Amino acid sequence: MFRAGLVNPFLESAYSFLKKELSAEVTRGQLRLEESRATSGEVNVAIGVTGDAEGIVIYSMSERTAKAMATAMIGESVPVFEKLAESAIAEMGNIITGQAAIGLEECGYVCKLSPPTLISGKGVVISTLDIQRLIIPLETPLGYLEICVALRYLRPK
Amino acid sequence: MAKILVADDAMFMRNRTSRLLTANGYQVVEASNGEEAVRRYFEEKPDVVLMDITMPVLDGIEALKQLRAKDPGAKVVMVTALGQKSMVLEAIRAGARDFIVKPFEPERLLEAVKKQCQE
Repeated sequence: MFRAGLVNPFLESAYSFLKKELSAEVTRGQLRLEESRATSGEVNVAIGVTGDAEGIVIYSMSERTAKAMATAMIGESVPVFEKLAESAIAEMGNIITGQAAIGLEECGYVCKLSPPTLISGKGVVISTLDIQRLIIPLETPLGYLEICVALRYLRPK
Repeated sequence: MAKILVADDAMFMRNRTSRLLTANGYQVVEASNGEEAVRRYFEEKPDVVLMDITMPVLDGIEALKQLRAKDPGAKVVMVTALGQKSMVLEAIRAGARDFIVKPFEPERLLEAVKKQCQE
């Protein structure tokens, strides 16, 4: 069962991470629900979630945004989006989801996360099958980032 | 010079942690998954292990259990994005000496390493 109220842990963790690690102030756009199949950004970090909530969380952005965020995290210019930059962006997804999992546990949903997977390319279509995705649009000075939360909550509290 | 084993699947995080430790006078060896961490622990005999939890091949909790089963004195500090209470308890029960949640303050990590090296 989808629970829009459980989006707050993701919002709070994203705000906190982007401000602390990237010194980026964040403006949130209008939340929206999308069907499972959608075209993603050029760089996507996917984290699998299992436990009392199950599904996937995807962090989607342009390569330009990914480079800008990786540059801020690494502290050095990232002219080419290579291994270290990929790792930094994947770790951003890992940390934001990990922090959100603390909030989910406080709401009664104990979850485990998979290691992040990076999916790159133009026009990539990612389907979350039968789980609708809640889109959290975030505008930052480093670029636009979308968090797609496609979770099924198994144990309503 | 104390030797620290940094086990994390994220190259970015290994680089950042290794740079911090090296700049503060520690020798660093690295592992990119739990299985490699267990192997390198017995090859390198580090003073302290900094162990991520979510890693491929063998996760950090299982690696911690394997280390402690073979060496009950192994000093392992978990450094992870998974800071849920249930995860902290599981790690402590498995023998972790400390638990640091990412993103960490450099001082917090250095303090934990120093403390374990002194014990």
